[in-house]
Amino acid sequence: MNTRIQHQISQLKEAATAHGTSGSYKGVSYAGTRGSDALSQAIRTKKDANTFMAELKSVIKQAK
Amino acid sequence: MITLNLTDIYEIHAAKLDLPVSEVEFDAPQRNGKIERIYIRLSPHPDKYLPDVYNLALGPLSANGEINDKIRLKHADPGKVLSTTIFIAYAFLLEYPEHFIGLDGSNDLRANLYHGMFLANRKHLSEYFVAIGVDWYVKLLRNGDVERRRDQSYLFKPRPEPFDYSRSRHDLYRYYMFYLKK
Repeated sequence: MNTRIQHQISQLKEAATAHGTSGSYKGVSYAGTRGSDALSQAIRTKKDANTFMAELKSVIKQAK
Repeated sequence: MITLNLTDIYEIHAAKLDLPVSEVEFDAPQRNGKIERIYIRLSPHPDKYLPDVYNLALGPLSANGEINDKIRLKHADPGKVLSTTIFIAYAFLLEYPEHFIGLDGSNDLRANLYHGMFLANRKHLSEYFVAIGVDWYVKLLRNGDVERRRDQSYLFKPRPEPFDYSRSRHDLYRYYMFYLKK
């Protein structure tokens, strides 16, 4: 991994440790998963989702 | 055309890298000289059947405390804003490598942004991610009709493929995703 990226990742984790786990990070108002998007409108059943995820995993394998 | 550089990002002011929700804050200078506090949130996709897919929201806070991802800001350096965002997506996927991040090309403006981002930064992004494009298809039935819902509208199904870099901005995907390159 690029050294600069590694350094940035470390800084990010430090920020997360300082704010997140200490509970001091107030964060954004989040009321849970909101609404739907195009993908959720097209995925109607568990079968649709399983087919989609299987195709996604196949795409990942092709990319290797 | 937005050029990304994941090594040139804005300073992160606060962060929470947890599940189900990860959040990050940074300041982005605007063209008018003002500073806008920008929030990035990675949260579970709304579909309960897709637990490994996460959505990314980016924007300032609206009056109700939610991220306003529809506002059009005039960033002094939009490339750096997007670079910061994509870096956070990368950091999230490093932490949770079995997840996918989904970007809804819900309107042409957004789809153009995502498509252009992948096209213009293919080499740089392919070091970190597998880019995926999703089209919607409808099944052709033997009687010549297409598969329909009860209300007779077409029954579209999403089909992912490796992002096709020969597709120009005149041939946008409906949905964009990326996965950690391992």
